[in-house]
Amino acid sequence: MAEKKSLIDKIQDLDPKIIYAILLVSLLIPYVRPLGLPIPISPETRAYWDYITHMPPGSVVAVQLASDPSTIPQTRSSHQITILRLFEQDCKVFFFTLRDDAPPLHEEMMKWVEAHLSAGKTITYGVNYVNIGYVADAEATIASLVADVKGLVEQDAYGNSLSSLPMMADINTGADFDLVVWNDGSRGIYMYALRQWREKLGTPLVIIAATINKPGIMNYIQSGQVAGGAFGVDGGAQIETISGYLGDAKKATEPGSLSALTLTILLLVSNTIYISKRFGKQPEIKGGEVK
Amino acid sequence: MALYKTQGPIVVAFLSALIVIVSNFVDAPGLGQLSTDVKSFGAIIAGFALFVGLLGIMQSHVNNVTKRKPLWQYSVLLVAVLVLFIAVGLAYGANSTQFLWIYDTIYGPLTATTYSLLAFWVCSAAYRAFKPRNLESGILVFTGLLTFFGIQPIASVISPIFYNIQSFIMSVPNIAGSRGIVIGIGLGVIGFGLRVLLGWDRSWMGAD
Amino acid sequence: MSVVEFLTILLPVSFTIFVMTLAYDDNPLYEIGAYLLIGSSAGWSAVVIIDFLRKSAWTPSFTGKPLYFLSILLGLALFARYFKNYRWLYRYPMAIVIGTGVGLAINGAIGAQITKQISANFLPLVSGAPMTIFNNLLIIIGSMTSLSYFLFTDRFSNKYLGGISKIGRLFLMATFGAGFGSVMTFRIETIIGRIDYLVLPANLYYSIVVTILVLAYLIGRDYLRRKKQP
Repeated sequence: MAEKKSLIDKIQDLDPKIIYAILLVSLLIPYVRPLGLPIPISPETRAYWDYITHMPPGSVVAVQLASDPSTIPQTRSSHQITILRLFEQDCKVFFFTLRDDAPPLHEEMMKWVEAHLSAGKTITYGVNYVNIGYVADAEATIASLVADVKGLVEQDAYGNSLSSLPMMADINTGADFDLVVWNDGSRGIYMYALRQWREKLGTPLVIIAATINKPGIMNYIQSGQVAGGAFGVDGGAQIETISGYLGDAKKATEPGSLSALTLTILLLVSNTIYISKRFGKQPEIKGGEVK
Repeated sequence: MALYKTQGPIVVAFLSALIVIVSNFVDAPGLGQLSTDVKSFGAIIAGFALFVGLLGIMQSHVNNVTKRKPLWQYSVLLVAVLVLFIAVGLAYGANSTQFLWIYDTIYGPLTATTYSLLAFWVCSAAYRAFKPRNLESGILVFTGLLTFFGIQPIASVISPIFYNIQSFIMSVPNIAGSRGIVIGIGLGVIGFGLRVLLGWDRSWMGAD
Repeated sequence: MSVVEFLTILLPVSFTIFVMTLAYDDNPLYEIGAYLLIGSSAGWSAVVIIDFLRKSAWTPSFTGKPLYFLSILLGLALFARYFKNYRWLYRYPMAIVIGTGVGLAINGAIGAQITKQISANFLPLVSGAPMTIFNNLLIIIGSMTSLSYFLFTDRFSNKYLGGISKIGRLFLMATFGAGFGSVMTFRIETIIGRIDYLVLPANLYYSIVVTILVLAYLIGRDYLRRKKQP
C-alpha cells in the first residue's frame, strides 16, 4: 500500500502546474487592483539619465537597438524616452540595429516619439536623424562601422544614399559620435560596443538592457567603462519617474512585484521545509511505523 | 590532403587577424582601408551564413513532407509560412506595410510568447532544485532570492533593507566575482585566439 | 470592422494563447505555434538579410568597389559544405570570419577585459567612509580570489592556493546567485509583456473568447484521451 504523503511532503513536491497557476494569478491581480507602488531610483539609472540630459545641442548620438519582440516590453520605455529627450535637446541621432527583427520595433517607437515631441518641435529625416536599419550581427560590423560609417552600408534603411543626407556630411567614423546608446535587449552583445567603440575611441557608452544582463554590466559601470544603465522594466519605470514622461513600465512593475513576492514566499517555504528535514530530528521507529 | 584544403584556410585566418590587429597599432598608408575592407567582408560573410542555416531548415522539412515522416503536416505549415514571408518581403519590400503586417500578426507574438514561457519553467525549476545543500549553494540560493525580490518596488515598501541588500549584492560581491570571470575570459580569448591563428585548434574547419 | 482589422487582432491573440498552452500540456495548438514560429523567423531573417547584403555588398560592387564582389563569392562559397568534393571551399570564408573575429576580440579583450578591469580594482582603502572602504576591500579580495579559481594547474598541491580559490568560489556563487535572481526577474518580465498585450482594451474580448475556446478544446481532448485508456 502506498505511503500517504504528509502535507509538508505535498508542499515540497508541489505539482508544477500549481506553481504555474499561482504565478499566473499573482501576475493578474494588479490588473484588477493596482497597487500604486513607489519606484526607488538606483544610482546606475540616475547616472544614465544624467548623462543623457547633459548632452549639449548638436551632439551626435548613435542609438543601437538589439531588442526583439520578447524583450522590447522591458526596454521600450527607456529607449523611446531617451530618443525623445535627445531630440528635445536638439541632438542628432544615428539609428541602427543588430537584430533582423528589430526594424519594425524601431518604426513603432519613432511614431511614439514623434507623437510626444513638445509643441512646435519637429524632426526631419536626414537632418535630425538617420536610420541605416539592420546590419549583420557581428563584432566585425561594429568595427567596420567605427572605421568607416559610409563604407559599411552605402544606403540607409529606406534606399537613400547616405552621402546625400545632410546629417551625414560630417559623420565619417565612430570618432564623430559624442555618445553611444546601446539597447542590448537580452543579447549580451554590449561587448561589441565596449571593445570596438568605447575602448578604441573613448566614445562614452550607456546601455539599456534587460535585467538578465544587469549583473555583468554592473561590473563595467563600476570600472567606469560604461557611464550608466537602465535595466528591464524596473529601469524603464525609473526613467519614467525621473523624466516625468508617461509610459507602460511603471504599471508593469506591479505584476512583477506581486509575483516576485509570491514566488519568494513559496521558495522560502520550500527551503525551510528542506532545511528542517535535513537538519531536523532523526525519525524513530515505533510499533512498526516510522514516526 | 592538399595544402590548399587544410593549410590555406589557416594562412587566410592568420592574415585576416594580423591585418586587424596590426592596423590597431600601426598607421601605415592603405593598411587602415585594408583593415576596414577585411572587417566588412567578415560582416558580409556573417550575413550569408544565415542562408546556410535556412537551407538546412528547408531541406529537413521538405524531406519530412515528401517522405511523410511523423508530424509532416506541421512541416507543410512551416514551409508555407516561410515562403509567404519571403514572397511578401521580396515583392513589397522589407519596409512595406504588408511585410510589417505579417510581422506584427505572426512572427512578433509567436517569438515573444515562446520566450516568455520560460518564466514558468524557471519558477518551477527554482522551486524544486534551488536548495541550500551546502555553504556554496546556500550563498547562491540566498543571494538569488535577495536579488530577485529586492529589485522589486514592493520590497522597498515592505522594508528598505531589501532594496539596500540587493543593491549591495549587485555592487560588491557580484562585481568581485564577475571581475574574476571577465579577466579570465579575456585571458582565455587571447589564448584561444592564438591557438586558432597558429593552427593548433582546427575545430572551426569542420571535418575533412 | 474589415477582415484585415479582425485578423490583425485575432491572429496575434490566438497565437499567443496557443503557445501558452504548453504550460498545460504538449498539444497540437502549441505545435502549430512552434512550427509557424520557425517558418516565419527564417522567412523574416531571409528578407532582411537579403536587404543588408544588397546594401553592403551588391550595390558597392557596381558603384566604385569591385573588390566587394569577392565578398559575395566568398559568402556563396559557404554553401560548398553541402557538396562532398568541394566542402573544403567553405573553409576560406570561415577563415576570414574567424580571423577577423579573433583579431577584433584580441584587440578588444586586452583593453576592455584585462587592463581596464585590473586598473578598476585599484580602489581606495584609506580614504572615504568606512562602509566604502569595506566594500572596496571586499571587491579587491573577491576579484583576486575568484580569478585564482581559474588557475587549474597545480592548485591542489599547494594548500594556501587551494584555500584562496575556495574563498573565490564563494564570491563566484554570489555572482551566480545575482545572475539567477536576474534571470528569474527577466523571465517574469517577458511574460508580463504578453499579459499586457492580452489585456489591452482592444484585445481583451478576443483574449477571453479564445482562452475559453482553447481551454474547452484542451479539457475535452484530455477527457477523451482518458476515456479511451483501458
